[in-house]
Amino acid sequence: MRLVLIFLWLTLAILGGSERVLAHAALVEAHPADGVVLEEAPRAARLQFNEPVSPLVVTLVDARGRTHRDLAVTSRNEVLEIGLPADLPRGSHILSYRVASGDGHPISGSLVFSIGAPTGTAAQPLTEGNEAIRGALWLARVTLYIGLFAGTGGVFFLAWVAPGLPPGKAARPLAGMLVLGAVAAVLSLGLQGLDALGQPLAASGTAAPWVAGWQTSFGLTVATAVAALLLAWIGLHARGERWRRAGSLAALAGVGLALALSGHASAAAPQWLTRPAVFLHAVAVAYWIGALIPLALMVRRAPTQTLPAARRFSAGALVAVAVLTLAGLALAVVQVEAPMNLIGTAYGQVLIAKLALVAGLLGLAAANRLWLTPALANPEGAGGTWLVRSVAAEIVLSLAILALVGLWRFTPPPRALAPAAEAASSASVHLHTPNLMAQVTLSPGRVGTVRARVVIASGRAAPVDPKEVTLVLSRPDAGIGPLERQAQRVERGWEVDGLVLPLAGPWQLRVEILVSDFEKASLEGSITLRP
Amino acid sequence: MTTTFLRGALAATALLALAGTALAHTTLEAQQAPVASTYKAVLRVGHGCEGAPTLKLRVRIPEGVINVKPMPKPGWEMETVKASYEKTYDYHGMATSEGVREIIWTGKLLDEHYDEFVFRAYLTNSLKPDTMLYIPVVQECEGGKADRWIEIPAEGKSADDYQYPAPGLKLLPAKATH
Repeated sequence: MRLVLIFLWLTLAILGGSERVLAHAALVEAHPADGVVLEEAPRAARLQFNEPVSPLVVTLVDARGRTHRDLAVTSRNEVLEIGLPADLPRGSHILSYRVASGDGHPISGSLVFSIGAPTGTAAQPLTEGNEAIRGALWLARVTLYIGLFAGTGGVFFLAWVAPGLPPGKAARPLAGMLVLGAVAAVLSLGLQGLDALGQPLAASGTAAPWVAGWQTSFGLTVATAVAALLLAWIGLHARGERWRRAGSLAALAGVGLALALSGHASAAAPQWLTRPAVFLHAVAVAYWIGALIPLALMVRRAPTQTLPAARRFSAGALVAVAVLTLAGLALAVVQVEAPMNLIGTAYGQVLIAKLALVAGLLGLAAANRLWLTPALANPEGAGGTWLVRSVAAEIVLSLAILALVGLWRFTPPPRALAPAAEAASSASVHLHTPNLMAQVTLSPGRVGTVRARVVIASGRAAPVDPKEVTLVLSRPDAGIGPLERQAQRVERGWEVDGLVLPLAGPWQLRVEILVSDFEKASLEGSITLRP
Repeated sequence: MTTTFLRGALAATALLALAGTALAHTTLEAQQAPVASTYKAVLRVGHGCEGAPTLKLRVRIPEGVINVKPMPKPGWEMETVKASYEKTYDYHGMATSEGVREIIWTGKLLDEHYDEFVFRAYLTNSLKPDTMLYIPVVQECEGGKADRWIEIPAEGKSADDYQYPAPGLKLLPAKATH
């Protein structure tokens, strides 16, 4: 009961906690940067995220209040390039974006940049998710899980673990779960699209959200999941045993594949580890959870005859538990990054709750294996009754776990939170000449030891590859002469580590770029540090 | 009284220091020349890089400067890099679309010694009189050090505002044809 309460509380807390947008991919850098004042209108904007993204909606509200929706947007992996209108007036402009990250989840945001001087503009558009859609998404996700794990896994159990036994009453609920799962899969495609485009539930009658949902990485998951459910249907209803076995085995593999194709666990680096880990985790879960319902029904009807099947399942479950524990551990390490994040983030809290439920499940499974399954051998004993009760408890716990896992749809993993937090706490400036632009970010953006990151692009936002980059900082008003630091080349930019800036306020900043042996460019500006 | 004297001394020291850096620069001997004429460039190298001896001097020929003829130097190997120009220039009635874009002298010049590097070139009339023409020079030294005399002053600034200004000369209007 307490578990159920905790679970309900978590559900409400997470579904209700929408006062801030929970993002998965994070905007790492932007040209022009948020809040920057430029002398000339930029020809293009360049947004860089920490993960590959695909654009959904990009709009620009210019200083006159006109909304431009027909911007030319191209995406290359993590980078989004947005062609801006040529006739931008002086004043402040708001560029809003909504993108789907590699894990299929939409994130949105906007940035303000000004030409000449800042002016007042319309309020920033709201980008919050819709409560009803979030609830529906969660429900659809959990139903899909039930179809995939309990439905497909159940069919696999019937075909491979208990092949000689008549499926009896088990066939019906399994078929029902397969159908429900398929319906939920298709529905979640539309819901994903609505969430992606930020449209209300009422817009589900139009084609746009379905197309958008299909275009996110989740589209591939839905297609694979429906295929897996279809194969499972064949595995359940085919005449020949060989067909049933082939269908259910392919369906089980399809479950693993569907989940490995999207979701933030699969999107995490290193992909060679996370994708196979998700696949194995899902297959093992389907094997385990899928067996529970048919097993309970069979044991209740004929405890003694079910003994060989129960023993076979029990032996396989040992392997399945080992596999899913190892794969789950690997994924948790990648996603959570630090033990602190287990308590400090919503993602971690869901993980802890899930682990608590899994521990209960493992306890029941151990009891089944050690005492209750052997007790089936005694035709006079009450082993069958107890096994049915224990398996029923396992089913309830599994449901709760699936419901919890569905919440991860709304919680960014800590590995994605860190770059987002860093972007929020840093100070940044955009420097511009007709031929070159540089984005300098100091993080943290306050007094003390900071790390400077410089990203250089051509005036048309194409990447350039300079030979050397030097950062020069000074505070003439405070008598601090130029601090000159050679930047080190890092992935996608240049960095100066361990830069000590002792004073808050505006610093003069110069970036010296050795473009080629004989060509040097110097970009100047100022950047303000918080105390 | 004392303070005035001190200030004076400080100013003098500052001036001396400035003069010192100016002397260390790599510069041209003749700092003005008319366009549509042949110019003899003498690059004066007064120092190595932070004390390290100079091993190589690379000169980038700017656009609009053609018919470049470097003067060989005893003890120094000389090579040139030829490439096409951005446009075709008229050299005494001859269309010229490619030529020397870089001169490289390789040898050794100690930090405590002084040397000059000479080339002759034609300043085409596509260059604008009353502007500065900059000839970027890279001085490569022992230990991988390099002084890059390649900074071209932005509008409203002069070479004095930079640490490593490119050697420059002021272009004058073409002389009356004789």
